[in-house]
Amino acid sequence: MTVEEKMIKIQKLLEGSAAIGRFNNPIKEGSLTNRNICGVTTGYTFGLNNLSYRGIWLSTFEDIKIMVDGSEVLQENVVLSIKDMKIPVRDLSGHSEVFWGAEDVCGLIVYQIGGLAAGKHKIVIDLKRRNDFGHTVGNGTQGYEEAQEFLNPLHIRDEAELEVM
Amino acid sequence: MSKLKHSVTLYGFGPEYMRGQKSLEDILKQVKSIGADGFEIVSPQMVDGHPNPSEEWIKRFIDLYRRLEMTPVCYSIYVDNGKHKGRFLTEDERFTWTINEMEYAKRMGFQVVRSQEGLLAGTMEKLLPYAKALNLHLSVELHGPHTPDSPVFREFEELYDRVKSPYLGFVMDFSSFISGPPATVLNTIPDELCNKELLHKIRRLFETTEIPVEELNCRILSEGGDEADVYIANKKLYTGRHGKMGSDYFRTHPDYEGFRRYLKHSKYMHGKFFHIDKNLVSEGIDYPGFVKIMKEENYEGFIASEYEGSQFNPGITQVEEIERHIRMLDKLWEEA
Repeated sequence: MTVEEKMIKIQKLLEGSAAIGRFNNPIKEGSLTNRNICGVTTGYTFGLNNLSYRGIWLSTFEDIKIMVDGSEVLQENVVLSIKDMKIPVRDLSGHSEVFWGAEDVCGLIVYQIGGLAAGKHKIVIDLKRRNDFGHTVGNGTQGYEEAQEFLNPLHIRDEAELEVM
Repeated sequence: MSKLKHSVTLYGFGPEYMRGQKSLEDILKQVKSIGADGFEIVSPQMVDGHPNPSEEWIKRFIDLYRRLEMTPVCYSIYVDNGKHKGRFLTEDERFTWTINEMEYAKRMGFQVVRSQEGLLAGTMEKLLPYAKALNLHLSVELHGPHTPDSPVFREFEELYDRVKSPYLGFVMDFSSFISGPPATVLNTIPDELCNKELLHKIRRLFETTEIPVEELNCRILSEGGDEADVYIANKKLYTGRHGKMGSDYFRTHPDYEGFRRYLKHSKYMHGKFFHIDKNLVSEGIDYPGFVKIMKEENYEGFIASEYEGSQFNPGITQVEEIERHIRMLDKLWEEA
């Protein structure tokens, strides 16, 4: 193996190892279902795995994009479901009172008459969120320009093939 | 007889708990089997209903640890400065949030509340009457990349020196005093991708000498390694920092005197570790040096075993690692 070939493998490995122990795979396997309301399919939903070793505040989400079978889903049709609430994903930043803990069931609902056809679908989720805490400190806005851990949100991308039964 | 009081933080069991693989009861039973004197819980991680758990949950939790004959010691809380886009928390938010958490800590029977430096010294001082009234030791965790001399921690130290109260203090985490990477740091890299024997030699030289990194890299190349080995050394052997998170490695000069100074304000500490070998040695952290200081200063608080090494595939379980950590600490205390 040449040094260049080793470097490529090592870089890939070390990038991957940074994610070990982290929570970078939000799509919950086997969770895709259509929403059937009194015989009417109003959309579809899938579950989310928690994104932190200790739970997160919903207000730390800055953006959630979903792609299904290669097409981007309109964000205006998507809500996050948690603790008997359904919160539009574009409004999550305003919900600093909602904590997503280990025991909370959380998922995304996409409103779309007819839902998805039975069979397999490729789901991609692309999200940005801030750390809940960091080591740069201050009061209110004072010194916030130094808080790189909050100014540069984490970018998480996950994809999975899920089946609607 | 050893005078060290041992705690185990449930934090290390967090990934299994968050993924639903183990319940709180499963984890407490495992920790009980290790035989420590007490335990620490991370409030947002394992307190169901955080930040306002139900009366029913609190009762069940107390019944559980009493049934297992376990002692709650430390309630770990946070200052979630990332909660609002564009700003840190305000003093009102930090102050009221911390009182709420302290109330729950008290109700659940804990003695120590561990917060973070984001609390700020001024807010800490306003909380002193509450800590005193609730008979809780409220502390901020000194964690890497900070050291005892970081300005924000000096402000806490100045406060503590001024008010001289047993109700305020530090929880020192050994991530602020690391000499080098753990012995297991290269475990996840396949042998065919690197010269592992040489890299371990460089790792030990990095930890135990002050030979410049540039010279260590030259040695890699002159002793049979290649650019790929240099790349691994730069990424994995010389730093544990990830931007503003993680820890620096201090080689032969972790801040022993800062550790000694902060001990007088400590009733609890995080014995962070990544691997203890079968000879009860934790390469990368000078436990013998720090335990010696603890004994010299008659430290009477708890030390929690806080394991963070599972990412390095050590080949033994977390429970085995914690058992070794406790045995190592007792041995070092006896020998100091």
